[in-house]
Parts: sequence; C-alpha cells; structure tokens
Amino acid sequence: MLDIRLGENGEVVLSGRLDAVQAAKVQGFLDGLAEPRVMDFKELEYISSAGLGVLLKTQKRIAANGALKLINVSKHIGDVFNYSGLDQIFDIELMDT
Amino acid sequence: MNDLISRVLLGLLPVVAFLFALVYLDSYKLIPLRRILATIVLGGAVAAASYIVYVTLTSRLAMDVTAYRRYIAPLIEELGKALFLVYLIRSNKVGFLVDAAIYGFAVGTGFALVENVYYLKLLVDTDLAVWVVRGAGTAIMHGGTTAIFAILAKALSERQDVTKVVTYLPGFLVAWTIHSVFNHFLISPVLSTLGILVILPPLSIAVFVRSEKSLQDWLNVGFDTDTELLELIHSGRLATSHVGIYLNSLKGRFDGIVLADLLCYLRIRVELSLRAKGLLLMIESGFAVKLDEATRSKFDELKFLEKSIGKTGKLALAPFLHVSGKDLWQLYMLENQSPP
Repeated sequence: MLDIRLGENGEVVLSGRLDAVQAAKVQGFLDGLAEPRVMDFKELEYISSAGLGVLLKTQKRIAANGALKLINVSKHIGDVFNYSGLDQIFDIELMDT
Repeated sequence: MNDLISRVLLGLLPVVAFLFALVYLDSYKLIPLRRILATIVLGGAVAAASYIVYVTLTSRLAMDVTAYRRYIAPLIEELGKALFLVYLIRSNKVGFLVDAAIYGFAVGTGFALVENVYYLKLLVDTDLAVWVVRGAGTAIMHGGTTAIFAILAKALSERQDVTKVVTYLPGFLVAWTIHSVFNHFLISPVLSTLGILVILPPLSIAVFVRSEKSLQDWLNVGFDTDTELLELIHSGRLATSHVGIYLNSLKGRFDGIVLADLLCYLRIRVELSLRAKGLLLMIESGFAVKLDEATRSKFDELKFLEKSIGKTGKLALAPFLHVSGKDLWQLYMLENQSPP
C-alpha cells in the first residue's frame, strides 16, 4: 500500500511502497501539483524502477527551476539512488540516524 | 541535370529516410549515430564484395545470370549482410529487438546505397519509374530482409545458445527466401514495391512495441533483483544469507584471496548492473547522460577481478549473477556511454 499527501509545509509526503502498481497514482498526484519541490521519504519503505520513473518525469517537468529535493531518505533507498546514478539528478538529503 | 537529381533522390532517399524514421521512433536511442553510420559503411563494403563474387561467378565461371540473380545473389548478399549481425549478437552488443532491427536495416541501407549508386552510373537513360522501384522497392527490401534476419536471430538468441548456427538459420532462410522471391519478378516490380511498403511499416511498429515492453519488463524485474542483492551485500547480513552460506561452502575450492575477489566481483557487477538500469531510466525520461569517472574506474576493477577469479570463479557465481544476453549487454552499453 502507498499513501501520498501534502505535508504542512507543502512537501509531498510518501508512505509505504512505491512500486509499479502504485506508480500511476503517484504520477497523477504529482501531475496535479503546479510545481512539487520537496518530497518527504521518511515513511517510504520501498521504491522500484517504476517509482523512480515517476520521479524522473516530475523532475523533467520542473527542471527549469532546479532539482527536486528528496528529504529523509533511508540509507537503503539512498544507496539505490547512488548506485543507479540518479543522485546526480535529485537533491538528496539522507535521514538522520 | 534535373533528371539526374530526381534519380538520385528516388534511388537513395527512401531507404535512408526509412532508416532514420526507425532511429527516430526508438525512444531509448541506445545506438549512437556514429555507430549507425559505420554500419551503413560496412553494408556498402558488403555490396562491393558481393559485386566481386558476382563478376567472378558469372564471367569467369560462366554461371547462368538468371539463376545467379534468383538464387545465388540473394544467398551471398544476405549472408554477407547477416555476418555483422551474427558478430553483434554473439558478442552481446545488441540488447533489444529494436536495436537489432536498426543495425540490420542500417547494413541493408549501406548495401542498397552502393548498389544504387552503381546502377545510377549504369542505367543512364532509364525511366524515373525504374528509380521509384529501385529506391522504394529493392533498396528497402535490402534493409528489410536484414532487419528481419536480425530480429529473428535476436529473438531466438534469448532462448538459445548464441554460438549455435540454429539460432541464426531461421532468420537467414526467411531473408534469403524474401530476397529470392523478389528477384524472381513473379509479380510486377511496382506491385512488389507496394507490397514492401505495405508490409514493412506495421512490422516495424510491432517490433518497436514488443521491444519496448520487453525492455520495461526486464528493467522492472532486474532493478528489484539488483537492489535486493545490493542491500544484502551492504547490510552486514551477507554471511548468514543463502549467498553467504554458498560462498562459505567454496572455501575449500578457492584460495582465500580469490574468494575475497569473488565477493568483490559480485558486488561490482551488481553496482554496475544497477547503474546501467538507472541510465536507461534517465534516457527514457529524456535526460542527457554522461558516465562519471567513478563508474568508469569500476570497469577497470571488474576486468582485474575477472582475471583474478577466472572462468571457474565466474561459473561459481553464476547462481547469483544474471548472465542473459540483456544482462551482459547492459554492461557493454554502460561502458560505451560518453565520458563527462
């Protein structure tokens, strides 16, 4: 399951698993926002290639105004970004442990 | 002069336009333009070699020209064009059907361009209709038959051994048959040309759709498998996992240093595999990608480790490493990306 909502400061908060089944839901939510800038991954347990594709499409859309900021990223999900090279595209802030 | 320009355009443009339409439709664009151009040149060289064989067999050995045109020329020409594709598929340099189709059509394009330039000099006062047939019929047939060979060979290579002739034989027989039937002139050349123009575009679209679905499926499954293995390696729980228990069981068979290198090799292969898939995701979303120095140096390390663990070591890791054509191709694709 995946839940997506807007946080108090306008950040997009994700919780659960962002997989191929949930990718369309997240894409629809992000497309509905004029310009998502920050995404909170504190409660995100898992992300697959389909989820990364959604983030890349969103980044492409807002590219003129800088990189999408991903905050509270777990070490494992941070590793996925790092080893796939996507850390060059996004502004990633790892979760304090 | 205008007549010559019309002939050149009719004879050479359709096949080049068709090739670049294929390249344009490919959303991943994994084959660099310089490699497509080199493949066209290679196709031209095959045409020149085929001409030498034609002269040798018909003039010096007095072979019947009609029989040669119907059976031997299609055999020799399709074989010559197919050889480069066999090399590409055998050495895991083709990842997906669409890449095979583009390489195949590019070889055929080079062949057709050289052949039509030769005929431009030979057939000076011919009707423009002849050039419509040569440009949109014969030339596209050359690209199409080699593309069909490449698609069938690539599709079979995913299920069969890439070193076996049987992987390439069905595609070759289809290409040879189409070429031979075309050269029989059983129906009028204009109808043959129309047939080719009606059949090839939907066939190309079907290949693109299947190829992109195959890439997506492989990307989804492979990405998850790679991330799971990477997490395991980084978690500190490797020793108690099935991978760790297996590696531990190899202690008696490998030297301690080699065993350490086996683990390093597994890790770097997984990291590079994940990097290749990230690169594909970026290309799919329209990002211009340059390969960083750190990734490049991992390839040097991978080569060192390959030597250290040898073939036996690689075989020992086979249960955990994906070694399908696509998995090996992704490393080739990643290594050949432009530097920053």
